[in-house]
Amino acid sequence: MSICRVWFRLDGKISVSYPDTNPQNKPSDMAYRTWITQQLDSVAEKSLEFSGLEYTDMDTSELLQVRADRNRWRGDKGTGINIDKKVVLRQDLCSALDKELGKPEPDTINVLRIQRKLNKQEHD
Amino acid sequence: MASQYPTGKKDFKPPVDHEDDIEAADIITLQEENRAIQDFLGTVSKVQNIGLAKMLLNFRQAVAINVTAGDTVQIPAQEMMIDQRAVRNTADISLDLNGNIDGSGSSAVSTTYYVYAVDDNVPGGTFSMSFRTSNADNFTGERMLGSVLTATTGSPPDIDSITDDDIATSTNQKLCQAWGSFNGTGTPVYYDRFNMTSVITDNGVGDYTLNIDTDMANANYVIVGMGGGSAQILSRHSSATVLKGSFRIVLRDFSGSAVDADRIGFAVFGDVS
Repeated sequence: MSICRVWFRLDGKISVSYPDTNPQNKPSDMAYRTWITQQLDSVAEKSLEFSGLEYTDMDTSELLQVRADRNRWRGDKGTGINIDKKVVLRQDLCSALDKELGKPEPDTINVLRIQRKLNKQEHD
Repeated sequence: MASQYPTGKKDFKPPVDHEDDIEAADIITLQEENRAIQDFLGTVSKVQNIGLAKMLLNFRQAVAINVTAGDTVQIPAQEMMIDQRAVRNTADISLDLNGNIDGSGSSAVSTTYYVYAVDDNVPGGTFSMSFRTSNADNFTGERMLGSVLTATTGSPPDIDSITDDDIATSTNQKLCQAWGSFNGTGTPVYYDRFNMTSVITDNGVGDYTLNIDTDMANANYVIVGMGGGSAQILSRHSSATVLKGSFRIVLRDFSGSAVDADRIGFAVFGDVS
């Protein structure tokens, strides 16, 4: 069993904290679950971006297994994690731009529009 | 052999530390010292190198002396390491168990010996050498290369005694204060780490938050690193606040898209709290 902590960010995005789960690294005087929880609690102590966020601890096998959609993971503590297909990623815009430029007569306006979106998309 | 040259006796006592008087010439002699150590280590086997390197690193005094044909140098019987450079005919030079260098039969115009004193019981923390020659003008080349310890008591510093904890709490800005190597694909996990907590937070593709175990003193620290595979650029996340105890990094390819990598390495430099 590998426990992780799923953080529900205010913008709907999901972060997942993975602790060390190797029992050999556990202090001998500490229960396994306590050790895991202690590691995960340290995340919010160290990084203010997680302080105050809602979270849930779950087994890693319960996470969505398709890494390709990782940046489309959205959710909250009530509904859990879902894949939001409406989310447009940078790689989607790059593919659209390549497709348009690959046409015999690219639509200049469309190319500029996609490029503008790419410029505005600072980070996935 | 010394009796052949009864005149021109000269006592040499290397000066003690003068840290405020460092000049360009001092830097040159230190370079020579390092080169001499490296050359000397190169003449012995790897097994011998381990103990020998430790001895040389612990040397209390080091001097370089130029011995010209016809000169004899006498060194007090102590525990010393002696290296010789530029000997044209080693058969001309004899070195007895008391550390006496006899250059009287040398055909070399000038031979430089590097002498390292490693004896813990050197009176006053310094050692002296006597030079005998038939021509006093020959002795112009002796000079001190370095001094690690001039106290009469105590042990020379031993680099082997430096521990991980010493480094983690060190305020030495030259040292790497934290580093790690991890697999960022799937469930991220460290291959190895130093002064980093065990938790890796995955914020998305190529987007990770990492925590420093012993916080840095401020947020002005530097992170350097790289990712394998198609990852070409590792940068701090643009929207994340820089914190003393954690940082968020993003891996991108040349098109600017975030990408995962199966081997991401980083190192942190700066002031520690």
